[in-house]
Amino acid sequence: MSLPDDYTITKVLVFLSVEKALREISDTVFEKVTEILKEKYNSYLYDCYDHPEYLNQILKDFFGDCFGAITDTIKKYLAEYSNRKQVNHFIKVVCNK
Amino acid sequence: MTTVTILHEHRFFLFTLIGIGFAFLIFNFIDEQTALLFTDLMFVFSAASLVVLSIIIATKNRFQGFHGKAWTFFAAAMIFWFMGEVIWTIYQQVYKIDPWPSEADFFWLVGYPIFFGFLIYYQMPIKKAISKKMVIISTLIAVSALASLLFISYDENLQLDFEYAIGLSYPVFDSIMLIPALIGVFLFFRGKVNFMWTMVSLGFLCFVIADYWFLLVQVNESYYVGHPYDMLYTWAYALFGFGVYNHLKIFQTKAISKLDHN
Repeated sequence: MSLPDDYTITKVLVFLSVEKALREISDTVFEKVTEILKEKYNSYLYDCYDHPEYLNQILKDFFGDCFGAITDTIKKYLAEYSNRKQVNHFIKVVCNK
Repeated sequence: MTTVTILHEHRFFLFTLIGIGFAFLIFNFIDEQTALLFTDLMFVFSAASLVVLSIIIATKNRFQGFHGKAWTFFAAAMIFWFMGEVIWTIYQQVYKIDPWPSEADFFWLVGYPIFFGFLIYYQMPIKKAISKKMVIISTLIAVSALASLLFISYDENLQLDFEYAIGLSYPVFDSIMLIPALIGVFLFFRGKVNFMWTMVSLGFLCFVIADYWFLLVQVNESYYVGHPYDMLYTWAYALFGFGVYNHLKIFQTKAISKLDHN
């Protein structure tokens, strides 16, 4: 069995960080975000690494003016991986106002 | 979304508020006893509906996360306030005695710090968005409102007894809770989750005005249960109820999220 590549590891790290940030608010918020992702974009939270704009739009729709505070939490959990170029790109797109 | 669209979307809610207002005026027009019975029943019924809704939303949130804990606090506060309404109604309708002050006040007053817990926990995930300016402005508004009330209600012949202390506790608690409620109004200006917060904030504002008013009319002894201003308490419960109901609708989840884990 081969070891997962860097892309897969980063994708999992991003997924877990976003899940943690959303669950910190509440399980229902996490569930609602994943539900909208599936309904609107036919994607899962795991796919947000490749399409951070989906998450960006959902969070904007949901939290309105408080969007920034929510993305700050995601940023906080991803801080230790932010030296990775792809993670930086993800943060930039998700936090885009 | 235009104002007309928003009003159309929530027309049932608007009709309910207007209906409550008219009902209070009509029953007051009939006679004071009918108004009293109607008011007591309305308080118990609206508080009971809110207890059911709040338990549903707390259960759905599984008491976890900031919002889960917030809704648990909300449900607990509603249970305490419902108990207050029931005790007040029993005293008034069954024993035919003046329930002011009574054990009902204990339940209402205990409900306040619990409701404060709800306001705090609900804002925890967005605490970074709360600026010092927001806190200062909210505090100034709350303190000014309380100071104005104390100034207006002050009477040198007034007896500073237990009854007055209980009456004063309400606006003091209201003013403390007005701070996170106003911060909430500043924060939740847009976004889907804002309707619930707007409703809860407006509902709480109704409570604040009603409690301030209650103290003033208690001081000049012009209060009677069923007084048209009592509609503010029913409006408060209705606003809370609509907010929670709307939130429940937004967060109705299907089984899709479970697939996310597989």
